[in-house]
Amino acid sequence: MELTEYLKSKDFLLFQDEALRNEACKAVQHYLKKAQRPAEKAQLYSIPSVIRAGGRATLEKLAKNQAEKNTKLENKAFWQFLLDLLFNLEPPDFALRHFLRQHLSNLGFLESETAQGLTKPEQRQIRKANRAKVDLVMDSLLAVYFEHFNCHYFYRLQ
Amino acid sequence: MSHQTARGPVLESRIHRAADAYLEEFYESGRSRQEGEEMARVNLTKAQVRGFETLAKSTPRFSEIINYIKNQAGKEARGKDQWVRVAPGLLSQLEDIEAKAKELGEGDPEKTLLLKLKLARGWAGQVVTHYLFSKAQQEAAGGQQWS
Repeated sequence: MELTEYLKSKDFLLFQDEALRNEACKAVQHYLKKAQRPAEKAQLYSIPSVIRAGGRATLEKLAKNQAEKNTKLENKAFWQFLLDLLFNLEPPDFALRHFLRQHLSNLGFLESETAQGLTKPEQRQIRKANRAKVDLVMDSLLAVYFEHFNCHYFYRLQ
Repeated sequence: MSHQTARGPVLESRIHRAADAYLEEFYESGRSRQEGEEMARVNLTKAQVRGFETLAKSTPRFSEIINYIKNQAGKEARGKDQWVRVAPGLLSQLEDIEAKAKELGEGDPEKTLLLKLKLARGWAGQVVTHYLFSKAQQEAAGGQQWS
């Protein structure tokens, strides 16, 4: 099955409904455990509309901007967490990219980047292709991911 | 994004029957009644509960029901304690429903998605019915007090 086909499949819908939801809840728990003081709920309100308007790139811009310029330390820390969660090129264990890589790899959509006999340019090419696949999937589910993330955040903060 | 469209023929009648039997058991267990009565006890309005029912019956995605409950509880003003009090019970019952749908879905994602919605909608109908009955009893008792 091609990746684009998978993205239209019931398997992918089920993945978004369950595994992705659990992952988003885990990310919230992880953040709340680490945060000395959680960010205000209002910080999250803009995320869905930003994703709708401009997707991942616009969300990254917003997160960078807030991580630099927000006037409250706890809010800055939250946006930095989001940057790590979504955009860090060396994804930490809790990163969404890490989770998606694992999922796509289990489904056989990613090629091994460390297979024996690969030249450096070949490795680079595979890495780039794999990254593009993860990006494509991330773009397809980011809105649902943040629906799960935000609702769980609001609930846990109550 | 595509949605989980509820289409009838995908589920075999034996699975439909098993799902209906589960909903019957759920009803008889009194768990949905407990939640409906709790919703009336914390004074959720009919409009709030109808909103919940409408969402459950119209959403194409099971997790939207979970997220709706979390969102209602999460945005509630401190001290109001309505959704906050009913949310844990509702979420726990939805968890059981999801597990049952997976079991009945036999590993088929399409069946599982359909079953999750079918069971959740049947369950929401039970909860709301019990809420309305409980609310009517409350109102009747209140009316008697004033008369």
